[in-house]
Amino acid sequence: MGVWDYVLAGIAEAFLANPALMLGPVVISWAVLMVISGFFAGVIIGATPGLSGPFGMAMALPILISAFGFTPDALLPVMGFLVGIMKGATVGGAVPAILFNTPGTPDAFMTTLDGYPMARKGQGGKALRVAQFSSVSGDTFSDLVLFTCAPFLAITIEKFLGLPEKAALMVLSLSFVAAVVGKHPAKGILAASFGFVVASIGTGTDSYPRLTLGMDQLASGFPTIAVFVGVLIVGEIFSSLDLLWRNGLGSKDLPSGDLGDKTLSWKERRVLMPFIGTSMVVGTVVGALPGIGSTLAAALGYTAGRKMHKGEVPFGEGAPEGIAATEAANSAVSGSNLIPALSLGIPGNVAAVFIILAADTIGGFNPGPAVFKFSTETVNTELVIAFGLFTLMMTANIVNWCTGASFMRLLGGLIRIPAQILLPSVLLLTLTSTYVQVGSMFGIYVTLGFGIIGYIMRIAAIPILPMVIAFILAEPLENAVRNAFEASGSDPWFILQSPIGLTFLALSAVMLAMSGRLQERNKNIVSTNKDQAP
Amino acid sequence: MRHLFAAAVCAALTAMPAWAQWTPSGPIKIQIGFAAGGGADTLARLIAEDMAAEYGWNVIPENLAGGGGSVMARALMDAPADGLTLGMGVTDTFAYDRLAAKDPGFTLDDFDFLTTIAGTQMGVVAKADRGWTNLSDVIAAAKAGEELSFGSMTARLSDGAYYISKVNDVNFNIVSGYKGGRAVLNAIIADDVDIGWVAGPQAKGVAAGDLVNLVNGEDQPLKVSPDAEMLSAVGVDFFFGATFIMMAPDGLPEDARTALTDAIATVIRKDGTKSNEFINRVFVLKVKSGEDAAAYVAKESADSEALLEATAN
Repeated sequence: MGVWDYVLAGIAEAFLANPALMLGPVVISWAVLMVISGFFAGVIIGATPGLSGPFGMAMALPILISAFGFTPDALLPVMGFLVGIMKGATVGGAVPAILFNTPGTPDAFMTTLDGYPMARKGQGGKALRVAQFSSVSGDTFSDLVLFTCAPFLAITIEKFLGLPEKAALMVLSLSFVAAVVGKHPAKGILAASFGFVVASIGTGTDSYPRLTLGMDQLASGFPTIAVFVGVLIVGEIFSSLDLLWRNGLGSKDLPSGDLGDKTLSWKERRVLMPFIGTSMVVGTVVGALPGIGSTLAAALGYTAGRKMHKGEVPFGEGAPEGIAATEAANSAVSGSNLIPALSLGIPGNVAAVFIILAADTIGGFNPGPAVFKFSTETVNTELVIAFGLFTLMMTANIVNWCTGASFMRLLGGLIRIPAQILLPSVLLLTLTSTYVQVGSMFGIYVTLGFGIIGYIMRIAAIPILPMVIAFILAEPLENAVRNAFEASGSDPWFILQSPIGLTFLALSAVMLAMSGRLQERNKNIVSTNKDQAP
Repeated sequence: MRHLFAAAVCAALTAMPAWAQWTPSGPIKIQIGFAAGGGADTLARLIAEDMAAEYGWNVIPENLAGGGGSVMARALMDAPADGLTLGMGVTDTFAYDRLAAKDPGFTLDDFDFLTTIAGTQMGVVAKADRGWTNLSDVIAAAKAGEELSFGSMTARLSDGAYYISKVNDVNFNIVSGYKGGRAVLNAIIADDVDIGWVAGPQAKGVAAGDLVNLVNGEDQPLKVSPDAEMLSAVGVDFFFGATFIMMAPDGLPEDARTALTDAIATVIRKDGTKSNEFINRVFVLKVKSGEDAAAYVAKESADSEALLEATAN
């Protein structure tokens, strides 16, 4: 079989095998049905404050396995649903960020910076449309890179990156925090250090967990979701309630019910294209590198966009370009993140973990180098499945292109809910979803505790993002450095042993040196509370 | 033959009341000493599901991860011994980890061990293209001066790797920070480490010929490579597999203990149950019930003590 035969077999496998519905001559397969329902479920999960794509996937996996069983026929429907959730949640995540200033995930945090000001100016509809257009563009581009580069890219990257290089790469990712510290570097460093302290609790390799003060609840650290949700959402709710209380219910400084112009003309799209283009490349590159993740991609995309931007409305005050730069970057991570997952079996992010887990549990598809062997004499069924999966990803993208806009309009209606009803509802929803994910009241206490911390940080104008990124990167950084050190036979200079590692370290130094200049030119972007400072 | 049959029926009839008498007075909670989403968690949840389906009991699984299972152990020992709270963990928690911890907060006497459930498929794994067929080859390479790294995911396995190197008078750079066997496997595939402990996820790669089980870390043959070298061939008398085990707080009434043990052992053994299918797919069935379960933990404890002594500097 040639390459095209495999592609065609994959498409046939996705569309025709295992039919669920027959509408006259039209056959709808279980795989297509599942990827579409996964997509819509994902949009709703992403749009619910406090719920995230990976959580939806974790919840869906056992149910899917139970429903479809362990036969090879189950592979595409199950993986399709998971991929659908992943894609839907990426788009949906922008909704609460734009409308309520409560990002559901750390990735969507940068979306609030311009999305929420737009919503307050009565341009919420347009902001959602920009987010959807940028997200689906970034996602589709990243998928195309996945389809064409999966067979060789991850293998090449792994060949060049050993443990010391990976440690240096983590140092480089961390240095990007310098680009987002806001106008007061000292406050940024304070926030990042705080992120490190929080991340170091309960982690480490000693049998006695670190910094837990003997509390069993902390033995596996603060629940990640509770920390994010607390700082990002609950902190924001507290600060909005505070604002509401100060200004009185009548004169609330919150969006009007009007969504304004909800369309996006071709001219407007042309203006956004350079930002989307840059960000989707940034996102795709970050996604293909091991262990960095979409939050940093969003931050980098936004920073790059901010440097390029010369329009009337500055970034941070409701520029559609800011939303485009963020959403294109964080969505472009998802496709290329699957490159190491499919071609090496190594997950690049949490979402990919569930896809590998599904493949492992069902059997018949083992993500790894063998998947992309284009054998000509015998049929490599795994390759057919891989192309089937690609077909489903594209199907989800097409659904997203066609219906995403109207779905966004529908969800945009949420903005009409008055703040005094909305804020407590979001709080209740957030606490409930945290409870479901953590599974105990401890999760709620942590969420509320970090909510208060987030509120104080907003009052004190301490940027949130450095804390969040440091919290995310702390564990991979520590593991990478520790593993590289141990593998080198405890050589203190392990990180300086290869030209690639040295290059990464040099880039980190350049990044730090340049951050001063970046800050001067673009003051006050990341500090979230400038819109709400009393 | 007829006598045998009659005896069997008699035995069945006399055995029956023991478990028929006890029924739970409320929902049974299974505290799982692992985070949600992994293989051990899935196993516990499927057992709960099967017990509910088979006996009509209301079984509620609950994750209590942290401290390598010790958080679950400490919570379980304080629960009432009425058969309504069970714990699902791994023998490491009660053997090596308990002995290595500064203050584990529990002893073996705090629990009634009901039955072991399943064992891992622990082996030292390398990529096939490295050209080694067994651990002896690797040791020979290390002796010849090659610097080799050895991935590990628990303190016990790191000690094991160290012990292997010590007995054979070679040096491995032991990389101990991996979380779970799959992470070690990923590191092996990515050429981050040369060899490493993997507890089961290597099976598919070994079957496909991309990976090789250099040595069998278990006390029984590995399913996918039954002829893999035994640890005794490199002078090591310890085993490094992990065994999943179900337990209750100490002092469980005899009838409840028998009923629960039978229920768990029945569902995991029975063909076609979800847990049985899962175990055969991912682990290997290992059922030692009642006294044998406690004896199994005691034996692993004694071995771990010896390992700790042997690796202490």
